[in-house]
Amino acid sequence: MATHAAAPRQRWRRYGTSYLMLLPFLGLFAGFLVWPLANSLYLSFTKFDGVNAPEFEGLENFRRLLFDDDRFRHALGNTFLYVVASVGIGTLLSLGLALAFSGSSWPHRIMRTIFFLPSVTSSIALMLLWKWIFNPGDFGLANTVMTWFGGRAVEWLATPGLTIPILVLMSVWGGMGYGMVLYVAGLNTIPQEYYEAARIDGATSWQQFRRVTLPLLRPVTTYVVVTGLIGAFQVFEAVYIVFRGTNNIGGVLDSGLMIVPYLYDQGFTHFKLGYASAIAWVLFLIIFALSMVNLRIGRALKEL
Amino acid sequence: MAVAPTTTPLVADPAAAPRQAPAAGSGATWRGHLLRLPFYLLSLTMIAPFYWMLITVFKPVTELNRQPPSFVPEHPTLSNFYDPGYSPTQVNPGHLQGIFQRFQVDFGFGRFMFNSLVITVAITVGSLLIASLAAYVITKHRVPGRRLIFLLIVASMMVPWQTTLVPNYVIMRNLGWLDTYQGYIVPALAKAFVLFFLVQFLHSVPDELIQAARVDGAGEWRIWWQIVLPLLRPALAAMSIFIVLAEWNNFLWPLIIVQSDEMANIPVALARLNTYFGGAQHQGAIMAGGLLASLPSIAFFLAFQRYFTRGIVLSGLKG
Amino acid sequence: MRRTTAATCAALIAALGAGCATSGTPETKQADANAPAAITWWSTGGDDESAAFQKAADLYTKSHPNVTIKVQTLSWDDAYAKLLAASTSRSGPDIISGGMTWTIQFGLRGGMVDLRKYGIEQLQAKAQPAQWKSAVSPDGTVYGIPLDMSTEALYYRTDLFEKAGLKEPPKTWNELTADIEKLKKSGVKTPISIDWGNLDWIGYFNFLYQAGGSFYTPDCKPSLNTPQAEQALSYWIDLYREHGAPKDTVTTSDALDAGTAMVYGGNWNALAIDTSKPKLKGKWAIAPLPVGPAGPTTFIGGRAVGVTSYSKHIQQAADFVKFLYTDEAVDAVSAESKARNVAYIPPRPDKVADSPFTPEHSAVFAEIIKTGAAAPGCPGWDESASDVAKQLQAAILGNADVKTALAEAAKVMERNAG
Repeated sequence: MATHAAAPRQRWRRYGTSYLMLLPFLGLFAGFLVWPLANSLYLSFTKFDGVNAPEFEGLENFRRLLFDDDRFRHALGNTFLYVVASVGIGTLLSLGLALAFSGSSWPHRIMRTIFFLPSVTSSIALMLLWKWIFNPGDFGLANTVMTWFGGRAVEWLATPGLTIPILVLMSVWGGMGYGMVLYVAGLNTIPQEYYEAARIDGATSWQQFRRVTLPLLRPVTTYVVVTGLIGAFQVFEAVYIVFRGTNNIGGVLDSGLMIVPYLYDQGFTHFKLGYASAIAWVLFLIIFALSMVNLRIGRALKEL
Repeated sequence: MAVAPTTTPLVADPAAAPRQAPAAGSGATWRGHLLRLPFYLLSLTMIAPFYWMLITVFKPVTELNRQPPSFVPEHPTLSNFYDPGYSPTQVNPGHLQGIFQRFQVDFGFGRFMFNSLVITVAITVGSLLIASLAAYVITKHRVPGRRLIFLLIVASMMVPWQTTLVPNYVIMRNLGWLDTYQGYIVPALAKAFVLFFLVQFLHSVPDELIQAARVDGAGEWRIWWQIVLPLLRPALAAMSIFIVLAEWNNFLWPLIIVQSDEMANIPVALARLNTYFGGAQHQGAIMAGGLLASLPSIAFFLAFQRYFTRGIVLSGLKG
Repeated sequence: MRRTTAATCAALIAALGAGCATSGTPETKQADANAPAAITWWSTGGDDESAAFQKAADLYTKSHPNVTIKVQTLSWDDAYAKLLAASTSRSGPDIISGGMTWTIQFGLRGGMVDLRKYGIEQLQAKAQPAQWKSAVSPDGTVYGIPLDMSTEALYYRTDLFEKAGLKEPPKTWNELTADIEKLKKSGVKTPISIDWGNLDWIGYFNFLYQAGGSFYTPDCKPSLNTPQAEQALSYWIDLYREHGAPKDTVTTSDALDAGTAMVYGGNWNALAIDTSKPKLKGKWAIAPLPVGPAGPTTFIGGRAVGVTSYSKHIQQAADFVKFLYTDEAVDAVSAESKARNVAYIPPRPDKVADSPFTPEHSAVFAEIIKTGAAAPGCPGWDESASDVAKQLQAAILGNADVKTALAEAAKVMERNAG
């Protein structure tokens, strides 16, 4: 409660500059994140084609999404399958690579650079490259390799059963180097003394790995897995570039349809902007749940 | 807008690792190499696609669908970049447009590289400046509401940015910002993860430094510019690497707001080539574009590897 | 971006359920068409196509000195969004051209002018009837008219045919099947491939109409539950399952170069093959698609052009759109297209013979177009197209039988018809 009349004025003098310095960030944050977020929630309850004013229709979009839209259910199923496979395989390989190449000798450094290369390469360029590699012609790289091993040319991108495996392959190939680097950093924070102590106790390398390395890498693993899951749920480019067919975004039989590509398809190809907003909110809820697992944020809040 | 907000910055230098953690079969023993063999083989599968891209770039149009394919270009050529034998009004068999001839905009593909550069630099500099201002206030000013503000910003890191895609598109349209630089830049400036990172970093900076400056009579803006920013330099460097890579490769937002060829960034331009040209004969030019898109970011990474290391030390992993 | 658009058109059409196609009639009312006006035309496609249309615009402005016309290119990828944005803000170009059904969609939202007010009907007699119909809104309003056409032909390797002892391309479905066998025996690995419309409703379209079926009845009731539709789908499926047509789309020129004997490909390939695959020169030819039990009907796509309701020069713009159907305009566009190797088929069937292709190819396209049919203009088709394609894919890839797939497709069409 204001004890003197001059309080508001003083307060402004005292804090004016502070708020002014906060303003650019907060203004943009409010304008392009908070407001759109609220707006998106509103739009998710409407029918909106981008031209006529949004028409409120309650939970209709969500009802249709969850109970009456085979394509969305399909997209959800595909996404979960893709996420679990790509994060699972990717994390294991990242850890393996980190254990194999954590040293400071030049072969290790070169290997680390090689595995990290996709992380700094243009992702669209990589997707176009994959599309070219999986060209159905006999001259495609993948098919050439098939013939080396006595196989026959495969229609990689038009075989529904291969779509998710190919997406997982592309994701693991492109992402394991990043996880590796995080694991290497984690490994380097483990004091050598722990290993020495374990060796004195007669622990084998496997036991050292189980009892020392793995438990101490827990925070890194949590981080790699959670950020991996969140990133994987948002997959878009791989589907859009490699699998988009002439009349739908998800590839043959929608075998590669995922949440964000479907959002794009509904929102920006068919201009069902209300429906797309509902899809966006389903994605939000999934990612929100995942983020709650991410303890780093909780910890940061405590620090403040 | 580019970076998934929850992808907190944990950038690292793959080539740096001061200490050696003993892994299974450590060292350069034969056993160690044997255990690593699968990974050495795996590294071949890492290199092969890049090699395929590289040779595709230098193959002439007629060599692109040869069966079996050539693994060293038999007639290496630069025509996938620019083919002097191509003319728009005169059919010349075996000659198609190189990547720099494929878009009817001034400077062709160079225009997209310019766009990407402008956008990336503007967003990187702008977002670091405004986030450092805000981080300074949140950590070093006892203003009412700062906890709430920070809480809100941190919470927003849990929002997948695609959730705001539709409303932001509508906002851009209403502002007339579709197909403009400001449409790229302005919505991407307030980056929650950058603020989060800088706040964490500033917590470790002793308040005395700033108090001393205040006692000397320095204004808040001057303190920010002359003391806080230099102190933040390692953190800013780490963040800028992260932002640069993300913005250089940003795709979905540009895909939605860009309309003309003139305003495309590199990823959007490449995706358009993909829509237009399906046949093998076009892959040389497409891969040439991919190479032009990738080389700057790879070079940038190699040049600043050092800061990647810093990034990882600075960010949460130590805790 | 150049020389490409036809392929994209194919893609986009499908994506947006529109058609790539066209038709027409000239003669201008000189009302106030000479009042000063700066007209902008946003043309969806490639820069080379815009350059060709600009020639017609230049001709028009020569006789109408107060009018200027500028053709700007919109790329297929985002043209729809850009045009939609323009019609929301009610500011933008005077003339737009794009996918076959776009003008209808924008028109229903109030963004287009009903060209009947400006005497557009007189062009109808010059146009390809089916294509004209698909550009006209179901209630009869003319928001747009065909700007150009695209269609599909049978591309085949003459040398491989000779080797298999075949003198001419297959004329009927039966001959097609028989020729496939003969080609296989002579050592051809892939006798047939489908490029335009592969695993998609456009691919099925040809067989469906050739069997006497259609997607909708004339009064827009979904009609895939017919024996004709089943016969067509069974035959189409066999091309994939029995005769090894690739399921992954290979472009026509790549396919022919790789030794595929026959390809169902879009007309634009006729200009692309010799450029990208010089070694194929003289070894390939085109023919109309093999005729089915009910006739030769082939898909016609293309683009539609119309005048926006927010234009300040509606009168002049409409007058220019009519001008596009005159002999001189069509000839100018054809000539420039020829120079730039653009696969332009004019919307007037009588002018197809002078299109930029070789005389033999032009003759084939002219013949195909006579009996061509265009995409269904029925309400709900746009929303249904990708689901219909998915059902067709389910049948081809083997997890659904023909009857079920068609029934499912019809169900979707029924629901979307409202």
